[in-house]
Amino acid sequence: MTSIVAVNARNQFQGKISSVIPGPVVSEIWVETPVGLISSVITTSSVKELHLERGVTVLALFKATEVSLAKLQPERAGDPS
Amino acid sequence: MTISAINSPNQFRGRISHIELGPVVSEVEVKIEGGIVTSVITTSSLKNLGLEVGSEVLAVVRSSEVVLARLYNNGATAGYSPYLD
Repeated sequence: MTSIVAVNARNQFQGKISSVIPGPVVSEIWVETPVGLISSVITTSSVKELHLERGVTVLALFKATEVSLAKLQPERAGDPS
Repeated sequence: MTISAINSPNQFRGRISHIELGPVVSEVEVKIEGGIVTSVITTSSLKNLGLEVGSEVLAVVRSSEVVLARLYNNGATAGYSPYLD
């Protein structure tokens, strides 16, 4: 099997799987990373093939073109947070 | 109109630290707690939203766009092999 040397995705965050919510076709996987919890929805076949379960170290990746930006109102003094 | 809620769990709040301007799309780096998220959006959107270095933004990614790679030896090498363990 060919090993991947590098991936071009700009956004890569390493973490440990904190929970897996299995479904018949896709599963939801939560990964604890330095930037917070990242949720990923991948096929259940992949989850089984890669033996993904709680505690496994993974890299969560997404392309920069998939990142939307929302502008936030600058915080005003006295605003409840 | 104001967005009060969106259904994506992957939301990172931060400030724009760098913008690489292009004629059609631009690369925007957002400094968040713990790292940097990079976004490529149209330069029209960038202008419409009045985004500039220092602007406070929310970077949002759909969960279905997040790929997972299993790592060798708990993180030493990128890539995956389902046959390792």
